[in-house]
Amino acid sequence: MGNSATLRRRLPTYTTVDADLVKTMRPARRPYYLALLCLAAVAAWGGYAWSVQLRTGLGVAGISSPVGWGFYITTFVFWVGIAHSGTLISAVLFLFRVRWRAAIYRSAEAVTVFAVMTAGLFPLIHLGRPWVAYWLMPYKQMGGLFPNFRSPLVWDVFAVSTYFTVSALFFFTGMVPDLAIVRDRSQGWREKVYGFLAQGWQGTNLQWKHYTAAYVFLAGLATPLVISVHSIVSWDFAMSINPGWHTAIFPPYFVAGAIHSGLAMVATIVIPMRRLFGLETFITREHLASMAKFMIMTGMVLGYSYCVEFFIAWYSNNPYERDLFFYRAFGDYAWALWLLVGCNVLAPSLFFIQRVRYSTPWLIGISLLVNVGMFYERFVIIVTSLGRSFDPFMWSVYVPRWPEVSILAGSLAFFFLLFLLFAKVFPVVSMWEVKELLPLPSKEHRA
Amino acid sequence: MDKNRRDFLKILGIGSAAGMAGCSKSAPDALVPYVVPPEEMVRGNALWFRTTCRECPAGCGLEARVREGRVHKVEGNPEHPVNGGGVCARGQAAVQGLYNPDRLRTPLVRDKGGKLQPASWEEAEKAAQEGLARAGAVTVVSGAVRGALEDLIRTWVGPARHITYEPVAYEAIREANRRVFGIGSLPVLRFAEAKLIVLFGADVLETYISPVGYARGIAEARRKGARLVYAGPRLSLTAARADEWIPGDERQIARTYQPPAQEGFLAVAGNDPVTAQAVNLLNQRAGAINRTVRFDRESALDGATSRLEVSGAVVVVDTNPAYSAPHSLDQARFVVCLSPFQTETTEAAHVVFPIHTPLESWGDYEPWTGIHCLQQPAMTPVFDTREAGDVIIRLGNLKAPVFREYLKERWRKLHPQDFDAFWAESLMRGGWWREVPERKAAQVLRPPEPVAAPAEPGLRLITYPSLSHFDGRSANRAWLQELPDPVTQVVWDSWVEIHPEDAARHGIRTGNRVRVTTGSGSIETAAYVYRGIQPGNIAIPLGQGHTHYGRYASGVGANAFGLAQGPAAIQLLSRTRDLVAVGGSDLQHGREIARATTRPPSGGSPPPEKQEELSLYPPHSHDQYRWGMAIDLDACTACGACIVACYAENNIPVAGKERVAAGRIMSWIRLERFFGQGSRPAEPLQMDWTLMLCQQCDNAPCEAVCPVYAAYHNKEGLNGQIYNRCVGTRYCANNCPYRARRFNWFQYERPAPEDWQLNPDVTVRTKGVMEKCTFCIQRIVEAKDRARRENRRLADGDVTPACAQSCPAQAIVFGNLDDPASRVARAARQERAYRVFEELNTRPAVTYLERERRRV
Amino acid sequence: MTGHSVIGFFAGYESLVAAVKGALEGRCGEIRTISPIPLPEVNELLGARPSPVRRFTLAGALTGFLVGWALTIGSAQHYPIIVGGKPLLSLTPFGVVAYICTILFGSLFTVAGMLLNARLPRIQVGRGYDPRLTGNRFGLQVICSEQEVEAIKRRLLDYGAEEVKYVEV
Repeated sequence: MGNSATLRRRLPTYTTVDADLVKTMRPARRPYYLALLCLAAVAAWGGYAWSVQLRTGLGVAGISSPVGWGFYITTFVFWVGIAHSGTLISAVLFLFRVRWRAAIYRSAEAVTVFAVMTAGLFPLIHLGRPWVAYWLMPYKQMGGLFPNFRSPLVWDVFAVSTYFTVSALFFFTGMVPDLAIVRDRSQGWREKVYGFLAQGWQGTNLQWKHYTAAYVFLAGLATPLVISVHSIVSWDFAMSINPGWHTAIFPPYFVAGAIHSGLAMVATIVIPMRRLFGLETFITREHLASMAKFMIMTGMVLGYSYCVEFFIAWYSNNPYERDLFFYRAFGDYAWALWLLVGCNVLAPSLFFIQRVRYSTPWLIGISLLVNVGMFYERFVIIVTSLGRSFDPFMWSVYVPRWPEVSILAGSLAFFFLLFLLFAKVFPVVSMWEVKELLPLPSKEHRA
Repeated sequence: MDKNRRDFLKILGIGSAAGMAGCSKSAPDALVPYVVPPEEMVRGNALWFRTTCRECPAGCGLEARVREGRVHKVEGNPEHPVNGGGVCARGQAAVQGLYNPDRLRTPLVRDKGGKLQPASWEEAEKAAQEGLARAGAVTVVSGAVRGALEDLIRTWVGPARHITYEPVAYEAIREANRRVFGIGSLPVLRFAEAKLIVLFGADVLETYISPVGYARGIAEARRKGARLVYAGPRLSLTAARADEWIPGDERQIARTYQPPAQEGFLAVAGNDPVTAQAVNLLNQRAGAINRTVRFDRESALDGATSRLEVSGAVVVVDTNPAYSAPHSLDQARFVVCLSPFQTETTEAAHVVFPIHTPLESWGDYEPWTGIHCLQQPAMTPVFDTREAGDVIIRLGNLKAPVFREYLKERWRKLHPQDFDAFWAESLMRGGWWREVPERKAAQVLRPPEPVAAPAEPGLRLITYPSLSHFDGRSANRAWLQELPDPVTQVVWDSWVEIHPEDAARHGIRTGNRVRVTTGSGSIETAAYVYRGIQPGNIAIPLGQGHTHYGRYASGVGANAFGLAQGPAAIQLLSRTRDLVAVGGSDLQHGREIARATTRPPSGGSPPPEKQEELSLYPPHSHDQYRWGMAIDLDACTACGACIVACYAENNIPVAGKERVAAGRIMSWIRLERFFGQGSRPAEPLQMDWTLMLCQQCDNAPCEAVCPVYAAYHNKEGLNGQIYNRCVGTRYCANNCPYRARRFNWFQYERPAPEDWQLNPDVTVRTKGVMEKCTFCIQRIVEAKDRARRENRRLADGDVTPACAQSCPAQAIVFGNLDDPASRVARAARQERAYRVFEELNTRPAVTYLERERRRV
Repeated sequence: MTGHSVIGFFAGYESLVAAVKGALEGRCGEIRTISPIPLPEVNELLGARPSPVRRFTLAGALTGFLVGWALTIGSAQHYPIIVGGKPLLSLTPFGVVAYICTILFGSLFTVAGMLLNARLPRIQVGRGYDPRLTGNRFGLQVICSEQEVEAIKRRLLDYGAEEVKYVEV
């Protein structure tokens, strides 16, 4: 793709790679701490809202009968979706030997891990009795009872926790050689801490041999996870009976949407990060343009999926489906539907224009729109199908209340808080993999 | 239920209840069920006491279920001639009167400063006697209490000074009967024998005279093919139940209606002089008099009046004229009020005595001549209250023993021979009903027509007693406030019904605040705009708008009693929309949830063989029983009795207005009311409804998705919900196509002593847990235990869920679907049978029978 | 037991490769390279057997597969409850769980395999470890007897090492 060529033109060396990338972990200045404080405050407010909900009951939120799932599940699926892009970039692109993944994959994988962590809060938040949430764990309880493995929610437990485990392992394992670099450039207690985290990594050929083998297999195992985890989350809806939910298109639809939103979130994070840390040498416009091209593809897939959904609803002649999709397009939430179509399909189409692809303001703007659009996509799916189901007597509209908005904001703050902490504590770009892309040092070409 | 055993227990129960009630004042230590129970009380087994409902003048017979000395629920007395086992919603809510947290707990005396202060019984009696003596001759105002209490009152003040005040007294009908037939009495209506029933503004299925009995009669008539027509300006619930609604002024229609030449005609008039006289002549022409309209028995309402103005010394016994007849007590110099609750009348009184609610009282009531209903306490009094009769005895210094003895003596006069056995039998039966000699209405005078008020321009106001609150006396029951009105689906409020054309002229939309002004006053309430009322008419239900009636009724809705029926004006006040009505869409959109058919019944031939549903999975195997339910939508009158019965039986919490507005009403069975079958309402407006509850599906979509097996299918075909296993993911509720599941969004508290009403056989759910109809599994288990002890299987009719038991029209049938001879299995095989959303392959256990719109 | 080794620091890749080949020919004892990036070519020179980590992965995947089926089928049979009319052994949903367990156990076993084989984590980095080896230098460590130390040092310098160092192991 010419990215190695780009690197070659600028030509960092092994030394500059280390220097440039380790200095992201220098002690921070005041704006950083201010940002941390603000995010922590918002996250704490979200926590307070949750505590009110725990004490009083889920009734403080806007969810009700028949719309029993609202913002919380929307946000859960939103975060799980965002988590997929990281694994796509780290694992899938690795297996396909796409070279430009090297510079951004660490941040993308961090996005994955933190998004899954954030997502994992929401099953607890939306439960009526979260203090017994551990009953969903597969162990023998109450005299021989296990969870109901036929339920998509139990598949969620397995899928999301496996995803978290594998992503975290992949993330951390990939970081070990870099932590060794950091260890080797630190003193005092920092050296001890990073030394501990680096597990005594030296870089001997044997270590590299087993390491790269494990890396390949982990990537190979993580790849089916990208497809399956969000398929399983989509089955929370597809395995139910509601019109608009009960459809076989959901697994690919959701996976494409997940990658779409994940790429957007990675772009949203990586673009300011590269400016603030001065990483333009490593995360070049080519990287961003490649991500943009990827987003064109996922956006097209989504656009096609929307069309198929509507077409099949009409073609099926099923009165419930027809009525629901008509409602989605022209009913109480029509504004959300058209918003999401604009944000998810039309906005990324602008990336066809080369100037747009290479312009950071456009990239950030469109990524933000995609994030908003993907949130509303899940919202529209959940709330319209529940609020406009089989029995017209039970049709209803959902209005979120302050706990839900607070917890959504809190989750965003929590996510960014984690990422900010990560950015200062761990290397945000994978140094050893960037080095791998560089030409091998030779006598003429000093390292 | 095994008859002998029940009777045996009852006799013993009577003994102890009598003993307990008799020494209620002196020996509270006689009531200690937990340590030293009375002989017949076995912990875990219920005792049943038969008594009489006094929530309205109909006088239905009740059976009160008592566990460990507390009443939990009332059911209908199947042997009673008035209601035959059914109980209306207000009757079911009688327990909420008994355990109302705002009951008066001490006597009150108004002090020098004008405030009511708590006082002892002695102080209050002294103050009352002195005050009455000073204020002149005593007038006693009571509701319809024909029986021992009426005799006692008349012993004290004489018949002339006893006013029977009922806000709804049907004077116009009685007067028309007097003018035409010479008998100034309400007629006995034999609906069961009628083939064509024409109602002229008479809401016989709601509050009219004896609605439970009438619902039964009409259901029976319809099963035999009767047709029902309603003429009137309002699509009342009764009109919606009819095969045809003739919209218009019923007074005009009654005058010109031509009855068909057939047997079994019955016309009924609303409480209007023109209509009543026209209907009398109509009935006479059609040969209904002395057949379906009879005058053998006189009603307890015959001496009642709805207009009240008293002065001097007044004793008000358990009625509320200050609310329903404003200014009636203005001239009174000294008012003594006997009431269980704080009311507007107690607020106007000088001395207030707290009395028992009917479930704690001795007494009798004769709703119709010869039907002597007996009342006995089902438990010792909850608070320090007394019998109304005992208070009167002391107020009047009467030479009578305690009221209980007075009652017994009166009955001894009724039946002197073998009195003790007679008394015990009457208590067991719930009363004594005897045949009365026939009294035919012979003369048919043709008096001049009453002058109808000239038709004024503008709107005609109709006020009608509401289904939930009647004349306001039931408004302080939370269940009834939460019960959605079947037509408007409004809760915790009152409204004025107005046609869209009239509303558009004033810029009014549903929910806006409006002011209705008549010559005698004005009120502010919310508007409900729909086609169920003719243009030129507006209608307001009575019963809300209390100012002092406990926490559930005070400040709720508007009091329409001050408005005179007749010309009125309406004015938009504000566009706020705070009218809370449950229900999403008013239309079925062709989804066949509440099916109605106009095809005539083909006479019992079985329906064509339905194609067996294909399934990937093996069919269920059932143990001995497969429980199922059949709901006959042609019999259902949408009265809501089943809903309130379910609240009482299953400890369902009341959510309150705000939470209901947010969609959190907790009822397990709900009435779904639609205006027609399709996507547009019919013209004139038609209402179809169904009862939606958990369908206990064989292929329940809710069970497979619960992550913790809190929802599962048991061997008898029930969809079980294990409360203490539920973690509250709400996936089950999302996956139910019938949306039958309810979630506990809050921890609902019940103010004492409402928690005494809780059924000990049913778990009280905590917040975060899902609940739904269980087909009253506690009753199934109880019946199975009994059958096992008696070494037999359950027979059809051994198990009756609360909803089925309460239905006045017996529209709900429950039983074993695997037994082809059971009523429910036979119902499921009928031509009219269908299941809701059958194409989803949920295989529900609830079968519905289509409603029929018969050609008239 | 102390052994002796020499580490040569190379700035250029070709010199490292030459040195490795030379060391192999010279049969100087155990040879290790230490580098900031993986060197597959060198790895190939130093030993062709593929990493045994793949066996761990396979074992883990199989274990997970079996655990998934055993858990779901066993729990359904242990406490049989009918839900939604579905058969007691609902193999399709159980398959989803088995699939996830396959991946989970496969990943865990892979990481375990890597740690075991690479002999990580180590408490200490190792004596004589030089930080430049994760930075911009390649290292070649030859373990030999005490007598050969000087000879090896010279040979490494001949091949183009910037620096040589004696390190105890």
